[in-house]
Amino acid sequence: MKYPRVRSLVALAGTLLCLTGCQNPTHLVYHQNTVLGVDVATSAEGGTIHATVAYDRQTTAFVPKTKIAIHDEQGRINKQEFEAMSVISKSEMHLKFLTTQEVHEVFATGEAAVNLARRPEALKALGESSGK
Amino acid sequence: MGTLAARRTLTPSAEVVEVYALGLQLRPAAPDGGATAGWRRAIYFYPRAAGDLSDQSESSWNWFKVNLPSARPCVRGNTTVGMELQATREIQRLAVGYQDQLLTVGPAPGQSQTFDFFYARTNPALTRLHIENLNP
Repeated sequence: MKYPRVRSLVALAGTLLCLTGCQNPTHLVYHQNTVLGVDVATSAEGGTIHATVAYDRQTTAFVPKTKIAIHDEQGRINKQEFEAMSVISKSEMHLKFLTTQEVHEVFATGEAAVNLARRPEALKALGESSGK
Repeated sequence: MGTLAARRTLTPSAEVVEVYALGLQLRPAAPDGGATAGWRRAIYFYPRAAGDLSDQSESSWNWFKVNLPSARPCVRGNTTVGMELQATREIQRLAVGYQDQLLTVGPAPGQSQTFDFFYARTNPALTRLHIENLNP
């Protein structure tokens, strides 16, 4: 980097962030972030570092994995696999001058998400819903 | 440590706690662990207990001290001008400058849940937070 102070800051931040440890997501997480300046961050997934200089706006979803059983023709469990949990969600954000002014978040997980996906009219209503 | 003022707003379905800090603020405990040097406005949202519901919204202020509910907030956010060090379960970051973020924590894998959240910064009394867990 051209600027030694920024380089030192990023190195310090990376060291501090490594000390806090890395974890896999244990819950569904939605993250909205706006930065104007210098930002170094790691996510719950671990292993990656996101660095920003100047402006950045992020919208991130951490979807944890759930264990599912694969059955054979006789109904016995053949093997188990991990796949992302079932989620249907809608997020609506209104920002003014880089600051969140209004938020409307709706989501369904697991069996509720599966049932919602089977009903097109409910999905349409979800998409058209507003917070007010 | 470092809190200047806090406003607690109770709505029919949510408890909203806004915490204002200026200077050096240390947050050693979860869920919003970290430190800030500068100005910070943090906001935490908790669902209200079923037996605690009323149709009215009410708001109160506290100075230099805030007692957050023992439960983890379903939604939390912050606006910071200065240096922000964040060491939480979900995000670890160091930011210098301006930062505005919102974090929504949902259920664990295998849980069936519906979640409906609305918040208006200019009027926290309109906050709506409905969570329904469908697992037995």
